[in-house]
Amino acid sequence: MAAEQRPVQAEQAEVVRREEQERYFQPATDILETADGVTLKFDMPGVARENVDITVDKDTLTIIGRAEPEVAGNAVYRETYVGDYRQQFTLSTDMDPDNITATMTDGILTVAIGKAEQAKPRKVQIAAAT
Amino acid sequence: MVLDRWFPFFDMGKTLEEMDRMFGPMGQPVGLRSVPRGTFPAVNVYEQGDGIVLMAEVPGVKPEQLDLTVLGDSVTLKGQRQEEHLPNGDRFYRRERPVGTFTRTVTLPEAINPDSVQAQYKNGVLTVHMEKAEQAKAKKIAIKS
Repeated sequence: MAAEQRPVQAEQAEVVRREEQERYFQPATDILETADGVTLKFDMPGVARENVDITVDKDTLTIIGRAEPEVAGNAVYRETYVGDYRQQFTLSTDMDPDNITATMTDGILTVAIGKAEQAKPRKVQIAAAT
Repeated sequence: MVLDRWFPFFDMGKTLEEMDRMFGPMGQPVGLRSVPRGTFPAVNVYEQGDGIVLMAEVPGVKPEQLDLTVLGDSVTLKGQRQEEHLPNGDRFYRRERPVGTFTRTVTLPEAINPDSVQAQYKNGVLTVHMEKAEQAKAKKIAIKS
């Protein structure tokens, strides 16, 4: 009897664990291509500079911003929920994962990713006819 | 380029708006998402005993560019989020962050004392602490025996 119950319990534990996973919000994002790279901008109100995590794992760029807790009190009018932000991108091989810089000002995260050498526009010299 | 082509999920927001309109307030608590999607800035109002706190998400707007006025039981927030100047040849692949001027007026649950308003800006969030006006405060009444 006990042996039969075990898989059920394991399944329930799995369900509970999934429910406990945190909710994330997707920040509003601008993606801009410039001559030497791509600039990403994220609206992350409530996130301090030290609470931003930017990781690159192989070709996946993950951005996590942990927001400060919501104001205490009873919400009488609500347009937005406060929570952590998370966004993920797959970098193409034209991007250089070693050349990423980021700044955070007034709740806006700006991430600049450089283009790989082979993806940069180049000028072709025309050899003079001899 | 690759992203130049039509991308089906750009129409997603429109579809959701359409659904909001179709289903309307059915099964939804009144006051929740009564403004169109994408209203900027998003505002929450909290009640804390004799105090009212307003929270507005205004990332990238400097405090001196924000204009906050209080009249009776309504608060008006005006401001501007600057559009960036794009150098030649730069192009957007995705553009979700709203820009431009905005004006939002929110009616508070009670009238407030205009001298008690304190506003603070941090990490793109404006938090306004206000106290309810004297006549709106809950009063404790002593019961005579």
